[in-house]
Amino acid sequence: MLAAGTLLERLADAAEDVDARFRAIAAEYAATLVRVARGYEADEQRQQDLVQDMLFAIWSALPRFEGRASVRTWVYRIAHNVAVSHVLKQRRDALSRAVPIEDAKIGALVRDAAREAEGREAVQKLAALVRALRPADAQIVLLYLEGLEHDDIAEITGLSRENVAVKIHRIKGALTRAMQEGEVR
Amino acid sequence: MSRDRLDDLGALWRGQPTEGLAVDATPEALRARAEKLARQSLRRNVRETVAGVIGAAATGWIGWAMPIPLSRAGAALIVLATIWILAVLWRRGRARPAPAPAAPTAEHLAHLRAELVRERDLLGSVWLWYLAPLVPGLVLMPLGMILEVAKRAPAAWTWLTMLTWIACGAAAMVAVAWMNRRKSRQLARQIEALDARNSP
Repeated sequence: MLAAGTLLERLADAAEDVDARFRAIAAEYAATLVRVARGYEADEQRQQDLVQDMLFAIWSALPRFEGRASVRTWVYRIAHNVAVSHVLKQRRDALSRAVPIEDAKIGALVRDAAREAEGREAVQKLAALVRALRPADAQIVLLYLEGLEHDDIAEITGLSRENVAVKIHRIKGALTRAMQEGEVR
Repeated sequence: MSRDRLDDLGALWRGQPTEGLAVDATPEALRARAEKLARQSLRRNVRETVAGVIGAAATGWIGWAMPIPLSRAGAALIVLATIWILAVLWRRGRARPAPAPAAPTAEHLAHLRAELVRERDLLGSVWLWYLAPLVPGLVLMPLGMILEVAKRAPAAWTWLTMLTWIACGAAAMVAVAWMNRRKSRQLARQIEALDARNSP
């Protein structure tokens, strides 16, 4: 049996440990969370709230993080889950206007991205395009843009690797079609 | 070729400046927020329960104070209906627990869809679980009073009062049912939009 003092000390140590781990994660993934928020929310104030919600969810879930997944995958999962919930609760009207990836105008974006001087504008357009997508498609596009591999995307989304591959294939297909139609030069 | 262009887009996305957002993310601030949320949740639950109990108790007290048996029976039926409505709200009106924060997003989407379906069904059937149970009590309570007054008033007054009461009550109920039905249809459209993501 543990003495009361020892138990309290251990609990305090555990809380400090969680806080220290949280600070490290927040510092490491702050930019990632901001990018995810921009991919789901257009309003800057709400983006800020969304990042705050993501950090809150990460901090709340941290004591139960057992390290089965990588920290990166875990952070992405939480960030996207919070963002998807935000979209479905705060922007319900936008949901009915969301388009599938095949209808997105990727070609024009790539053309804009090719002009270095307009890089910032191209990022804003890209974020706007992602926000117009259905939540599940937006998630895959964002994770792909973040440079994650198919396996990681499958683990985060809960979709099969094959399903993820099909979705990414569609993104590329939309791009190829846009190029063939002369939208991208 | 397209792969290279998509990679360019990815590099552009990852390279965007992100310093603009100022977020207070210290563990102390988050702990304070968790405590505030817990307090808000407790207050909301207490407020809803107290409102329901006060509503039922007030109706019961009014009914008990009435000398007319028919009105007293009506008040008792309203109290029973209120208890029934609170029970339905307790059982079907509460949000179901969300999956773990780090669960796959597909689980979260399934949960959010289930919540939309629950809300849609609840609002779409308001007439059945909310309005219909109140009808017997809302008819009997004033009817007892009107009939009592009618013993000393002209027949025309009795009919006019009864018809006015029925018209106002029916209009209020139709309005409540219509508003909830409208909201339920909006939710149905959102569910359709959410389901469309799985279409080939």
